[in-house]
Order: sequence, then C-alpha cells, then structure tokens
Amino acid sequence: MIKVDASLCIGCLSCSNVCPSQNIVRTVTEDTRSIHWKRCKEECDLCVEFCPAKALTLVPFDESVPEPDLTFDLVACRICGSKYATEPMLKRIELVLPVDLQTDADGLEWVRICPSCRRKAESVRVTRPLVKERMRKIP
Amino acid sequence: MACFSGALTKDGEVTAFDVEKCTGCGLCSLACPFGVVWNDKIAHKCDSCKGREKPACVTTCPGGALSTDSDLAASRARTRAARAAAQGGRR
Repeated sequence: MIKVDASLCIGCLSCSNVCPSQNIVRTVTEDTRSIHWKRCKEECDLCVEFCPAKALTLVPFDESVPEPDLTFDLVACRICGSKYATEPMLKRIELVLPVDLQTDADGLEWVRICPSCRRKAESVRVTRPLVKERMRKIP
Repeated sequence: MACFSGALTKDGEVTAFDVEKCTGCGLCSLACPFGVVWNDKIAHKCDSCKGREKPACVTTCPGGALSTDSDLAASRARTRAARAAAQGGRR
C-alpha cells in the first residue's frame, strides 16, 4: 500500500491519473482539492514512479494504518479570482523557473494569474501598440 | 522546464509532446506565461498541425496575417518600429 509524505505532496493528481485500479480518489470542489489514497494490495508502483514530488512510497499492507487523505486549498487568480491551482504547485513553478522569467514586460507576476487571464494579458500587451498606431493614422 | 515526466521536450524551435509520458499533473499549464498550454486529464498544446502541409489557422486566415515563418513576424515588427520612428517616434 501507499505511504504519503504530506510535506512533499503538491496535490497535482498525477498519482490518481496513473493508478490503473482507481485506488486514488480525488474530490474537487470550487475551493479545495482532496486526494484519498485507498489501502491497496497491488504490487504496481506507477503512482510512486510518476509522483513529481517523490512524496509516495510503497509499504507492506497493514489494515491498522489509516488511509491517507490530504486536502489542498486552491489559490485564487489575482485578476479574476477564479481558483486555479494548489499553493505547492505554484511554489514549485516559482522554484524551477528562472526569476527573471517570472514577471512579464509589464511587471506582472504571471505565475499568480490563472491561464485564462494570462492569455488576456498577453493579447492586450500585443495589440496595444498596434491599436495606438492605427489611431494615429486617423486624421 | 516544469515537466518532470519527460512528456514535453524541445524539438528544435517547437516544444514536442509525448502523450504516452504525460501524467496530467498540470504543472506545464501553470508554467506557461501565455496560458496556451492547458490540462484536461492530459496536457494539450498547439502542435502547429503537425503532419499537415500548413496549420489550419494559417490556411483559413483571410487577411494572411498568420504564417509559420517566425522570422516574418519579427521582420514585420521591425518594419512597424522603423515606420513609427520615421513618423516621429512613439508617442
């Protein structure tokens, strides 16, 4: 069965996605994401292998050990307020990306912005000079 | 850079995607500054219609604004900048 290191898990759901026997159950609400690892007797270790945070290990089956359960609060987008990621996932992105990439030309800290607002910000940035130029052409 | 499973790799100028390796963790979509990689069970991103002669968006664009030539976009931007400078710079 699976042992989870709660301090390492980032709540990405990779384990739940790769588990062939649906032993890792996710519950997603508007504000939270929960993962429940059922006691499994399988010898497969796909979840362990595919955990990006190396938070999982296989331990011998033991009925007395409670099934691990973790709940993550979802982080709200700084522009639109929609909940789009877990805090440890964003922390990980901030850790692996070079710091100078983490703000765009307008100084926007885009990691803390949801993908949908990132698209909008980029389109505004690209079209702003074009529109300005077209306005100038009108006498 | 964010993909741990090796599903996303650099293939020359484009980022190639191997669906077999993707675990759907969603880290790539959080690492994309432009919000153009998204995650729905597995990651999805534009592959410029790999296998077609031209991407469908390029074929369809009536204004001829889209092309697969990334140098063209850069040279157009330079032309625009030069024209703006000739007209008295940016206001």
